[in-house]
Amino acid sequence: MSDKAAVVRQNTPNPRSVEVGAYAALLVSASAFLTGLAGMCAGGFLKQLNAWALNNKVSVWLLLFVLGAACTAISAYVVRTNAKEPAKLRHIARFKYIYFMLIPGALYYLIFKFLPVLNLKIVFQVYSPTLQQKESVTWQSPLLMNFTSFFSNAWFWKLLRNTLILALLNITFYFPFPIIMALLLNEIKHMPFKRISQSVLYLPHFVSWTVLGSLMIMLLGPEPTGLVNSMLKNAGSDTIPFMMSEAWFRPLYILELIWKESGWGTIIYLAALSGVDEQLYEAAVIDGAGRFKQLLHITLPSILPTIITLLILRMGSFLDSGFDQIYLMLNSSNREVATVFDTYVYDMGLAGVLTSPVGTTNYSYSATIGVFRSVVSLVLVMGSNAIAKAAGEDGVY
Amino acid sequence: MKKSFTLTYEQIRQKQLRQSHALIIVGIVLLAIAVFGFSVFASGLRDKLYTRQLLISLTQSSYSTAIHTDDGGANVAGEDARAYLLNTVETAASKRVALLKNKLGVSDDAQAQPADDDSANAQIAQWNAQLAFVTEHIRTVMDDAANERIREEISEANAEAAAARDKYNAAAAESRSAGNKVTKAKGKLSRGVMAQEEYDELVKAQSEADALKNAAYEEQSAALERLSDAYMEALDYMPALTALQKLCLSLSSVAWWIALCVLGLEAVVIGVLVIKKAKYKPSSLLMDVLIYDFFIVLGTAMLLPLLYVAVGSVSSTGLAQLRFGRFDLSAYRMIALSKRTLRTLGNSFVITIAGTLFNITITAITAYGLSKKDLPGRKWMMRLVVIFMLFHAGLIPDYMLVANTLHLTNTYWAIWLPVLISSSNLIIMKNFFQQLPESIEESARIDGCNEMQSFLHIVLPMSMASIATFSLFYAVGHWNNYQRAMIYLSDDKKYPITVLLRQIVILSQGSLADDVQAEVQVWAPTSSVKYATIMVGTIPIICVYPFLQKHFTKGVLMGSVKG
Repeated sequence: MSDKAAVVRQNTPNPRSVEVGAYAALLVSASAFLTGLAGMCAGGFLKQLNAWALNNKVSVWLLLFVLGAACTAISAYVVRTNAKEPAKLRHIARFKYIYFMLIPGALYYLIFKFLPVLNLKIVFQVYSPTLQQKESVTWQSPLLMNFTSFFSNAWFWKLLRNTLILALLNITFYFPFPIIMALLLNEIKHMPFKRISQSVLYLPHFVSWTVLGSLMIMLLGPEPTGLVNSMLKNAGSDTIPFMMSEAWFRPLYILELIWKESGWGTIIYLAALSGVDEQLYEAAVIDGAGRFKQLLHITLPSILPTIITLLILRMGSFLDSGFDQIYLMLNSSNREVATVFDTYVYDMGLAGVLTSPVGTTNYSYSATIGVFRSVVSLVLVMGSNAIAKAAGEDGVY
Repeated sequence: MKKSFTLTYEQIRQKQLRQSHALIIVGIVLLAIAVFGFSVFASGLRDKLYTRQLLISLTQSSYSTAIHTDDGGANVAGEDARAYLLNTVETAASKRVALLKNKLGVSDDAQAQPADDDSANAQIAQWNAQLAFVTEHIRTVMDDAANERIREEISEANAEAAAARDKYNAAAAESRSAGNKVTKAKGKLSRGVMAQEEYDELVKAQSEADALKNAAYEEQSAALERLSDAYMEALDYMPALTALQKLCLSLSSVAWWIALCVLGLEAVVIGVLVIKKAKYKPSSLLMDVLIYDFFIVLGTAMLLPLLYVAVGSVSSTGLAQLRFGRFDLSAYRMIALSKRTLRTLGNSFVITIAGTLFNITITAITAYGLSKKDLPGRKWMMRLVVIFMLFHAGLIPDYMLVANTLHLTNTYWAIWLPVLISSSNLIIMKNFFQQLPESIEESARIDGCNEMQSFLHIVLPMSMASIATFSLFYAVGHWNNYQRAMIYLSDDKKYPITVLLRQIVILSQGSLADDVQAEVQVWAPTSSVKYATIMVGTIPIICVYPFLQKHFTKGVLMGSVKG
């Protein structure tokens, strides 16, 4: 123990050098902070003069500003801690390589997860990508105009209804499927059979939604090419417009999902099942429990935490219906039931830029819908997490 | 053999034997139901096909008589469509009966040939029975409320035919009167009362009237053809089935009956096994067998669509009408010659390989960093990761960042960077690293390794299973990604295979070739080409799986268990 402490002490720098380094870092980052601030101001004040700072490069200054602020805060913290509790600083300094390794990840989260959140300011603006000049961006009045116009839009209820129905179907029919499959797979004692079944069940996951969409058209499409309809026609029955009807959209959605993802979904449950203590089963056998009782009273309860975790996480994507899948199933005949938040956001916001026939380029409006969806999802996750914790189970966080 | 507290071994055995007898009985019942159901189903099918065939031949003959003999049989203006159909079919059938009677010569001198008479009578009786059956069928078909559309169609066609008929009658009358005039004029001409010119004019009028009549006749024939088409559509309808037949048909396709048969057989076999050997327990055996059945059926269902495509891609007909034709690789040859497919395929490879490398590197080092339990600030970092996993800004802000701020559109960076780290994979991988024994790293540190070195030389080699697994996760995501490619890429030369697949298969537009002029030396049916494109777009990523499979179970298993 004392050896270890000695090594730790040896590997950590002394407080003095930390102090010097920290002041240097403070200086550098503070200047970065100030440069960022100045750059932003220059971008703001010298609009007419400096087109480079004016245009999109404002975000560069912003980034510099944020980074500078963060570094300043860290340096100030280092300086203060160095003066007060040097031991804590030594502890932190021990992890300098770890922090170094965390930099790319931190940058990723900063740039690709945090900066988009800043972009959300457009939900309060009249913003359109066609407006090149920044100064022509105006704030909505009233500020929540985008929200009110969305809530009063007839599409809002349709979207909410479609998305909710799909989500409920998903939870009722798709969600239990991998659990059942995993429980049954766990019962198979013949290893080669189990391995082959697993491989076959995993296979559809490797098929992309595009391919699955194509497959669906080949199997269920209209009569000359669609397999099922050709067979129906040959048998003298009426053909069924699977891909072109509102009634068939939801069953097909769930079936596609089950076909593609249920096998893959078993993995995580199988993982949980592999951790169940064998002694429990032995004890149950001695107590006279049959295999079904073992399944019910040992296997199922032991994967319950996993099930709950996944259910809570599923709540987080409750309003997320899977863009690729739905977008590839959408056509003019099922638009009324198949349009969900994901595809609507795309159609309203980006499709116009990417020349789709129905699309517009209303960024603000579209982002508003996205925000609404994210907030609802967040509330759902937190709510279900709270319920799970209140019920005595472990939550996700 | 574990004994329960209350039952002796003998009692247990007795119970098991009783259960196995019950199983055998259930199995036999299932088998019986399957055989019975199948026979009813088959007979229903036979009736259906038979009736249809019969109806078609009967109506065809009656229409051909109606159209070509011009005997007024088709003159049904104002008549109810059903009555007409019944009428024509009856006429046709009775005509055939009469024909048969004539042929056998039985109706007139029945006494002369008693033997033949019997057979002929039997024949006639059979015809009459068929006639009754067909009549009944037509009545049901026509009464069926679902046939409203067909009935409308028939009455429309009827009205049309009637109009054509009227027109034809008028034209015929015209032509007849013209003919009469000409006959009269001929007499007058021979008597010298009429001038030659006048007579010529009359003849000309007659020939004009004849031409009109012929045209009207053609028109009428066409109208009758249409009418006959409408009737044919009516005949395509399912005949009336009994309730039992309907039930059997709705459980239809032979597969159900086969499944029932198999289940029955299995039950019997289990029963017999249990009776013969004491080591089998019926309930456990039954459960096993049912589970195996379940996975066999499920596995088949999962494989069938893919098999269909695989077979279709090497079929010379593209499996049109479910005919295979012969083995033919021209669809693949076409793809191999198409620059566009090869390029999109190459793009997909670039996107997938490079993207996966970026993903796994960054995810691994970040997960390793976060796996240090006493890292100051770790709790906050994990909290941030979870928050950003649960809250996304959304499509539009992401797009604005990538397109307007970072100017990455139309580069692969737009595809790679926004999904550099998947938060859930990060968390699972972090858990995996946490489970590794700390003592090894500890000793490495004592030997003078810093964390980076110990990560590279100790932790990484120990976690190849996890690395392989998450590489697979990321690779599948990249290969199959469609949304980001569609949103961020605009250059046709940069598209991955998923975009091509959508263009070719779903929208049925766009071609394999770069431009129309591109020389295509091989031809294959369109559907074969679609199947082959699907295969080419799917097989590469499926091929990755076996290489990573042996790591796979271990890799996920160790990280994903919550702990």
